[in-house]
Amino acid sequence: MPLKLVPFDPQWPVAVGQSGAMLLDIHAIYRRPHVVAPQDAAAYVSTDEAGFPMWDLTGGLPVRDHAKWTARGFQYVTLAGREDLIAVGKEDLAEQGFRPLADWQSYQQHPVTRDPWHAAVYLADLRAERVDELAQLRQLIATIGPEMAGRMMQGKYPGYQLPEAFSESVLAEHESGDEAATPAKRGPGRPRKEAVPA
Amino acid sequence: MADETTTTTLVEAIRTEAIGAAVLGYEANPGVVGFTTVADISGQPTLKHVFPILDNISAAAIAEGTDYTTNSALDSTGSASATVSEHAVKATITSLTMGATQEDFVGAPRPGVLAAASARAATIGTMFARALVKRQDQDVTALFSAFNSSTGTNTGAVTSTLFIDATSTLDQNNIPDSPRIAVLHPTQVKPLVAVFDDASTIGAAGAAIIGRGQAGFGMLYGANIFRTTSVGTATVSSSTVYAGAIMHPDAVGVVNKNPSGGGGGFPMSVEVETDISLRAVEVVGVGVWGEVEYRGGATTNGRGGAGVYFYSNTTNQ
Repeated sequence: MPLKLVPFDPQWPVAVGQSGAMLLDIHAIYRRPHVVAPQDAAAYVSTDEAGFPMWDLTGGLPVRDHAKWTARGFQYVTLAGREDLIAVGKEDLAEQGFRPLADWQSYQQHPVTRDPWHAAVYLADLRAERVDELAQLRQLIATIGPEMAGRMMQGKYPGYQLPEAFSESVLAEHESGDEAATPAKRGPGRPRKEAVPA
Repeated sequence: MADETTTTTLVEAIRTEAIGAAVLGYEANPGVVGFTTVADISGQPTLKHVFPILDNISAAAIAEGTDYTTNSALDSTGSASATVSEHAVKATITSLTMGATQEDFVGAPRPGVLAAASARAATIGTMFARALVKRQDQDVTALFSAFNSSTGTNTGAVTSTLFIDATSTLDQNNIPDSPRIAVLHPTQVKPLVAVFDDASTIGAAGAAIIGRGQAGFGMLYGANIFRTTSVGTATVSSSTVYAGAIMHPDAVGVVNKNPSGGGGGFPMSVEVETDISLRAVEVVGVGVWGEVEYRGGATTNGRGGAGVYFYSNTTNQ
């Protein structure tokens, strides 16, 4: 069963109590792009063969600095600990104009700690999600072409660049698959790809 | 009637013992915070402290007899601010507990109720200090996995080469070489012990001194080593790692505020009240602090780079 992620509430990082102090001192897991050689000028964000970003996961970062983390390219994943879950679910918060998380108990998913966070389960979910994304990308490349497929992926991953080698291999597979599986679909006049003599 | 134990004397005895033990416990082991940049705003009418960061400015050559007109504006927009919040721990001592045998706590059988309560309170005070220090440590170490600079291994143990890489990164980031602190999980530290035992690394004389137990395990390649299980975990390339750090104190800022309104230096307080209907004394410890990544971010304009996220695999050692 996939990990049920606690939805981010924009009130969390800005809510203050009557003293002016932050109302919630909660921590959340963020995912950050895996950077290769971060201390070098030539540092770059690591991507897989299809150009999708590789993610590292942080420990529990303070949510009150949410703007700082997102400015760095981090993405919120879920709350880090059970105490964070309890904090955002307290009904007393409603008295301060805050909307408490109604079904906070349902997010206690770690079998031992009852934390909302379970790294192993989330990583498995990420792998499954990536398999789906790859299948979707392959289909897009085959149906609407590499350029449009790349643009569509940019909607989900800003700055996404479709690697040429990947799109070529997908097109080649598609071509050979077409030929092998459905030769009748080819029109009679469609030329076969011939090997170019060196 | 002079020896009678009243609710007032009982509460006062518990409070005194609990606070005393908490202060001693905190002073004896201040935790990771002792290696960060600390601001104390106790007694000040504010809940926030701004840790200043001034961008680098440049000097230029100038010809003799010419007026130098280039003004370098001091840019402090990169400053880091931390707002304090409350952290609490609570214990309840029931009346029946105080009337029970307390050998475990005072070492003498069947003491008076007051002595028994005091002993229990001292234990609670010590535990409160440990709990709050642990919480504060975890708040600070949680920031490590967000540092911009990083090095380590997601597949194996910390090595001396990786350790040198990390300190070298601080050098490249123009971070002062003193003081530096390596905040590591004990599991991360274990493989480094071999460095101290290796005569080829530190010389036969050095190894002999350590072998005789005449030197402590303290500093490696210019960084003091602080071991704590408060170092949390993170994930690098799908592997779970301990998220330690090698840093200058400027990497993290901590702001403390005494909860009772006065007295600097001790960011905690212990309060006691009797709940008659519950037939118990409630002891509540409160710590007020806030932590912020101070100069652990990007090195742009000289703002960050004071901390290196130093990770190693949690199981493959």
